[in-house]
Amino acid sequence: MNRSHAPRRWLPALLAAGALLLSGCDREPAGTGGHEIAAAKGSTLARIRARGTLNCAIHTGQLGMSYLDQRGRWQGFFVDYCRALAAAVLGDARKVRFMPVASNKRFTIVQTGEADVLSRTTTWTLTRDTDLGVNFVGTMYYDGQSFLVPRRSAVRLPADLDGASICITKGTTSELNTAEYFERKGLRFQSVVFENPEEAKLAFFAGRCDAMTTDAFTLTVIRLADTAHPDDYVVLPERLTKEPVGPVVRSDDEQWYEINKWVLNALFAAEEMGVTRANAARMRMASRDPEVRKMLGGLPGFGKSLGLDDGWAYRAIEATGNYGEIFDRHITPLGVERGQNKLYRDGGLIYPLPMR
Amino acid sequence: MTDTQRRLAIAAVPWLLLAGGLVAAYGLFATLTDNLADRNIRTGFDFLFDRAGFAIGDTLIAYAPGDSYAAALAVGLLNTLLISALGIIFSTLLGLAVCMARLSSNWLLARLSGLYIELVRNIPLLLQMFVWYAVLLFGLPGPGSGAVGAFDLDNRGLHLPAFTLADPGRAVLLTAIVACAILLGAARRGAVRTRTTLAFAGIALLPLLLWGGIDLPRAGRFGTSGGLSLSTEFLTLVASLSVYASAYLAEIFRGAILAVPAGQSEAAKALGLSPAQTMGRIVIPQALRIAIPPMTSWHLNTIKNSSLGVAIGYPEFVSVVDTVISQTGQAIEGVGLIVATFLLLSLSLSFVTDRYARRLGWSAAGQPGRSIQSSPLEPFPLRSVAAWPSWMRRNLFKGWRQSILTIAILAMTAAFVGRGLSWLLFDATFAGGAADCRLASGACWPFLRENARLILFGTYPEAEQWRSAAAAAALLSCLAFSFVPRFWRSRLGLVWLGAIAVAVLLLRGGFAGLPYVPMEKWSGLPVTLLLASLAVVGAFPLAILLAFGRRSMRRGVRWPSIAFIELVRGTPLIGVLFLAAVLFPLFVPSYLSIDSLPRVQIALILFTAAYMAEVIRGGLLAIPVGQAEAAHALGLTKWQTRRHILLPQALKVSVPGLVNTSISEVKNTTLVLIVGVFDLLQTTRLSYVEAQWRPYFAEAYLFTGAIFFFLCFSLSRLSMKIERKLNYAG
Repeated sequence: MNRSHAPRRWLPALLAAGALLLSGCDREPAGTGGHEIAAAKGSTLARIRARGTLNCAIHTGQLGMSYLDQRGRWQGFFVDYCRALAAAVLGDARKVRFMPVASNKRFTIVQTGEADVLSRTTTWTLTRDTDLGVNFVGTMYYDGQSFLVPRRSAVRLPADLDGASICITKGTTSELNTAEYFERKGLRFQSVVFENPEEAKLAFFAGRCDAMTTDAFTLTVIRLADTAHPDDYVVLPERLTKEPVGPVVRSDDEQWYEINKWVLNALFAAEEMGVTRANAARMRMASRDPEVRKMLGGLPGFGKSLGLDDGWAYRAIEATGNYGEIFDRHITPLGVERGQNKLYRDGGLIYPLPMR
Repeated sequence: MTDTQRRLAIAAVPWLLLAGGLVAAYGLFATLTDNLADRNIRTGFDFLFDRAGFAIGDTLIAYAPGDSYAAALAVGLLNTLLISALGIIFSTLLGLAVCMARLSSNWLLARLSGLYIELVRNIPLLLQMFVWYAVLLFGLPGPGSGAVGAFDLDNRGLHLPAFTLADPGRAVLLTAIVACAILLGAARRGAVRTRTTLAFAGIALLPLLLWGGIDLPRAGRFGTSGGLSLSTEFLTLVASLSVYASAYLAEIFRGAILAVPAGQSEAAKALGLSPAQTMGRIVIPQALRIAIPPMTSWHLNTIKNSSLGVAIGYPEFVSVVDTVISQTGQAIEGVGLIVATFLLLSLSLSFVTDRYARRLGWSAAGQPGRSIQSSPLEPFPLRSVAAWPSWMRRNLFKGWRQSILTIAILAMTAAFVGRGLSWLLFDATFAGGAADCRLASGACWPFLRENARLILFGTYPEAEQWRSAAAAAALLSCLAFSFVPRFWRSRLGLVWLGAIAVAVLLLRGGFAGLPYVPMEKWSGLPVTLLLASLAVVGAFPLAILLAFGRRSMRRGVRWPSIAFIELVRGTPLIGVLFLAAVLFPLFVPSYLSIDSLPRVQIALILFTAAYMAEVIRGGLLAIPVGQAEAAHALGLTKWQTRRHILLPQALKVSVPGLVNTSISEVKNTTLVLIVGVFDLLQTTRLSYVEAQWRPYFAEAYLFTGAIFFFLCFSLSRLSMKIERKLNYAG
């Protein structure tokens, strides 16, 4: 024990020296680190360019919206948005890193900046837009919540489900909407909550619940793809809610938000203007409409205002086609009608903003 | 460097480490606040009083979606308490029964219960839980089929008659109970006590008779309604927790009973006590004292394991917190609540058991009994046919009770094996597809042919799956190497590191013409093996530091070590995984993004380190004090003593314990599926979601269960082998 006395006397001086040293070291790197964070914060675009890939968070597997094809490549309505965005920003639709993410972790992955954009069926609501530090880019698909029930159950309206048990996926708006709907109507239900939609589906078909609830699109797909006899099941026609779904970005980067908003709008506008994947190259140079040529970069266009070059919209459309083409490629084959998702001039809700 | 300088430097090391740690903590905190402000995430616990808005299926107290988050959390906490209490009670009873069977002089019964213990212990709890759930969900009839009796079991749950009490009755009953408690507290004497209890039981019965009623389950519009309903998820959780813990508790009880000195039961016999009396009055009371500390620690595990309810959607505490986090985004507060709650639960259970043990005059630390011996089973004389009849007389047909038992077991086993075989082989489908399987009643082996690749390698690109297989093979052959005593050197750790590096490089690719495969596509068996082996190998050095840290004289070192070890051991692994999956990104600057796989890997390493540290500390405690004193007298420095004297001896003793920790790590890796990593169990679950394969979950779980059993069982054999070797050597 005597041996330890000698060093003890030196300790205060040593500590002081150490502290000085550390504080000196601390100030310098922390400062530069701070700048780096600031730089990273400032421009998502610069970060994506430096990285060379777009980090795109998608659904873990939903037919039509985002799914793996036979060759193990991600495909789907919302996956194509990632591709169009990568084509616009990086010039190559293949430079996307797809990050499948579960419903209950999806906002975290955008909040933390791991994903540059969240492109999956995410409903645009006030609290999500304001509280979570994210911005909704726009509505890419208009949906509504409904119920899937066995045909023999004689349930034809949501209100018929009084006292039923209902399979729900955790952390979704459907979970909240269902509770609110039944509370409003003064009805009771038993909620059976699952971590992911696959399990909810499995339990529903095993007869664990009387109904399953989520967006009507998903239910329609489940009815078609997951049952041996789709006619044994019904998707109730009444919609509990409005579910406008679309891509989401972090709210701290105005420029990145604008890019997303206008890439999405360019896909809408292209359908309105009749620009398709096949004719985009020709229209870029030869369209009689200067607005079309301006959008496609045939005439000096809007690239500079967005921090991109003028070919951004042309590349996006060339990569995935216009909104209608994307819809027809992924959604129509499932037997889902375009309905509300037609262009405004055809009686739908898709209204492209003017590209000028 | 002079001696003084060297000592000075050594003395400064912990302080520098501490200072470094503080600076790092400050950096993390600064990043955190920065990130939170950036992302407009609220902080603080104000959210607890906001409207929750979501419904909860199973509630013990009145709860509506309009109530606050705090109310929702209370519902979750009560559910956790209920599940834990039931799990503890049932597992203890089942464990005692299995233990008695294991100690039975009937050879068949003892062997069968041994098989039960091995099977249950070597298959991950989560897998067992999924099997229970699938069996209840798909095996039981749906609601509305057949008449509803007073006790009704369908795939929505168990429906029981419920006892109801109208309002005045409740008040009277409550008053009676309170009065009873006060009087009991006042009257301490035995006779008075009994009389008061009886009197008040009579008074309590009165309101039950006057106002009570029975609510029977009945067929409703949507399945069975009325009565008391226990949901399928609830039943699954209670059943799987009880069965899993029972296997461990049975071994704890067996060890304790064997540790009671043989003289005790011999003396009892000499005094003329019957075997049942000897067991009940002499052996079990003594064994219980020895069993209490390990039993308590297993009950703590049951409480922590109840958090696995999140995987099957039972609304226990962790599951509710998970929902709250996804609604509010307040991950830090949520994970903090999980850690704090489970710590509190663990501490209070230890406290209660400790008080109870003390009150009975037992030392909570147990008593040193004689060392646990293996069961006195007489092996079957396979070689000499002539010895068979007398062996059977001794071990199977000794007395009429034994004989009846043996015949009953034989009949049951025969029926079970017969049905099993016809399912596995005779009625099974071997060729064709899902359509052929639907025609047969037995197993569907084409399911495995079609889906084995999906189960083993998951979403890894199909053309590159040989790399996945090679990575798994590298790790498995390393495991095989570890069985050869010739390789039991410290270099074995390096071999493991090498194998892990090879596996990672193979999976990752991006060199020598191998295409790059991003981490989110890694899945199945190689991921499970990688997570487990890296968790063990990575935790090892950390565990050594923590073990020494906990025994250090310096408070600055000792307290952080104790805090880390106890915090981690008190928290369920799911809590630690949430921490890694949800919180980690908030603590690192946004330009550093880390895949979820390394994240859960770090969590697993830290988790394993805490448990290993305790095993190694146990080894250190076993070293006689003289060793360190002798080293000191010889002039070895503190680090030299640790490196050359203490550590080698401690490790030698703790190797079996370390291997056992590795077994739990192999099983623990399955939990990563809850945070979205595609391990072997997750790919197994994916294999039967497709409509045509949906009925064949049993084949899927049999396949994966066999893999886990093989891994864990061989590791447990390794542990026994090392233990034997150590015993011979020393």
